[in-house]
Amino acid sequence: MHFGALDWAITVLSLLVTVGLGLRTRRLVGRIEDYLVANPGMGVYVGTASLVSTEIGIITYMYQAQFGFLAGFSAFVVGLITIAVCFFVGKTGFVMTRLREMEVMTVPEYLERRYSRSVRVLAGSMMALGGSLNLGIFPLIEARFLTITTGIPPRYVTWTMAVLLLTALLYTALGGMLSLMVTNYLQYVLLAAGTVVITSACLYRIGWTAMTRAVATSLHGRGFDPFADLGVGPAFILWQVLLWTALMTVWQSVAMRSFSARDTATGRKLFMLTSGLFLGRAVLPMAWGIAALAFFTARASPVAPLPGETPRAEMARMDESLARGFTRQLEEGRVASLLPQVERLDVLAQGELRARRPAGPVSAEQAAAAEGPARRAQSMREELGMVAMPWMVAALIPTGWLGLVMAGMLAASVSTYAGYFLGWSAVISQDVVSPLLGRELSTAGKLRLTRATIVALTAFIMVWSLVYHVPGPAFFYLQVTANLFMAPTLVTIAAGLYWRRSSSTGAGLAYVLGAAASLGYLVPAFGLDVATAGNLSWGLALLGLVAGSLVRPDRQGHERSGIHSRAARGGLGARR
Amino acid sequence: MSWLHLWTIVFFGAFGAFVVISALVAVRGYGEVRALFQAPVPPPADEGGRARRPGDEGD
Repeated sequence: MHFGALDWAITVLSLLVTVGLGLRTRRLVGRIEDYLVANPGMGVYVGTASLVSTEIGIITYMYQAQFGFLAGFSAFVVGLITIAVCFFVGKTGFVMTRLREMEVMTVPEYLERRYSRSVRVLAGSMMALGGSLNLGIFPLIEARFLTITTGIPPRYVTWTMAVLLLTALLYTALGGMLSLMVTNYLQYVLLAAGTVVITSACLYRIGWTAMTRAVATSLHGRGFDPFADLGVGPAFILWQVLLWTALMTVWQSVAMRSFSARDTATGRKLFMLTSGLFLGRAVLPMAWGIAALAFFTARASPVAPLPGETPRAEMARMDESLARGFTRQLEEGRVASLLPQVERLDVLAQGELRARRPAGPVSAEQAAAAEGPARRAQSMREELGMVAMPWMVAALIPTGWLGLVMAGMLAASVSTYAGYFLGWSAVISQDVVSPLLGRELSTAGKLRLTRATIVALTAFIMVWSLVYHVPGPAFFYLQVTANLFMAPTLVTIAAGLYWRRSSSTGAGLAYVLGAAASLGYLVPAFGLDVATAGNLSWGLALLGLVAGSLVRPDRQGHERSGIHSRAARGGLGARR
Repeated sequence: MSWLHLWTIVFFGAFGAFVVISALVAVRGYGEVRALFQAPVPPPADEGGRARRPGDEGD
């Protein structure tokens, strides 16, 4: 471990400059519009910096690297989907342009104008729930990155989380969106520099050839063909296309950037420029995960059975040995020692399962004897995938450069927290609390409510991060919690904009059914796999919307659409 | 073309695009940030919470 005084100095200085800059913009914040959407004046380049730095955090790099470590190059398909969808949204202005023209501050605000207040509150509640659950695993995973790369002992992981959250809280609560736009620019420069340093180090110190060889050997023939490897083929890819379309149009922190744009043309340019960066956002950290696989595979010693040991006995011995020492060795960073053991356990368990299948019916005990180790090997592989990248970064990057990387990663993290705090607190205060109070709050009251919500949100994610165990890869958890409300939100908003007969009942049903399907993955008892849950969520949201709208249309549906059109032309729709 | 060829092109394309667009954002964004700091302090909000904007009646 070589995170030295110079690295600490660079890291602390970068944080102080960022916070100072955020506080300096405070004098410019006078109204709730300034606070939430920066009173539209954002240009293309600051907008791009703001959007990308919000959507890239340490968490992004951690889960993408884990996905690359587990799925190899097949994971890159997500990057291709991202760039295609982001470019399409920028080129066509799909949904985003219409919302921008209506001058709404939050996505559910549109739902009240188009449907009813109860739909707004329901959507706001779902967004608050899904958004908070999504944000809830950020601190623990990010703190693991920070403790590993800086050499802070693992027992201080909670304190690391607390310091990280408080830093983000400080200038978000004080400065709001305007502060974010300014600090995001600096943060973007830092995170881009850190990203380039790590990628260059992977190419220079490990090499592309070694990376491709590691995938070919460690993943046993998998890792190149996404249709075969991701286990779900076209279903997974279809779900990713739908989800990314929603993320690029109605995900609150992304939508807020288009609301903040100087005009719709600026918003569209911003998305087209961002599409290239979003490809890197996915592919580069995935490649770090692959580089980590190559790095530790090259340092691993092969494991072999004891003389005369049967495969079944070897599997049992390996399983027991890992059960005793895996967590401790993981904390000590002994990835090179654990990786071959976990791979061996996986191979033995899979072999045992295959050997039993042709023999006809097997007893539950026999099945469990092999399925248990196979499941544990998969879970341990996921754990290794989560920490392999930071351990590689700590070993690979020299002192001084490591400080720059850390400054970039912290900038990425703090800007993500700040953007999400602001996005979700805007939804909670504007779309849930304010409508339920049933009266218009003063500007000062709205600001106070938004700031109080940010503090409450921080407390919630701190607790959630400590008590919740993520089922499966973090990538899937984050996408399903987003899907919880993304599917119904895009369905109801697109229908509201483009289908006159869509009704409040249909919108309500879409939210209930769409969210229920996503919960099928998050609650292990339902046992739904990730792609099934994802696609089911979209299917049920659409079904609920169409069925509810046809069975119970709104009486004022046409009038609402009329108001809507006038607002889109600029006649109505001033912010309330 | 094999999958490996495709992923090699995607990776180096993504890295190149990231470097070029980031440099563009860093250089051009600086001017936009300076403009934000030089913007006049906004007028106070009225009772309803809505602030005056350019183009409002009376401007």
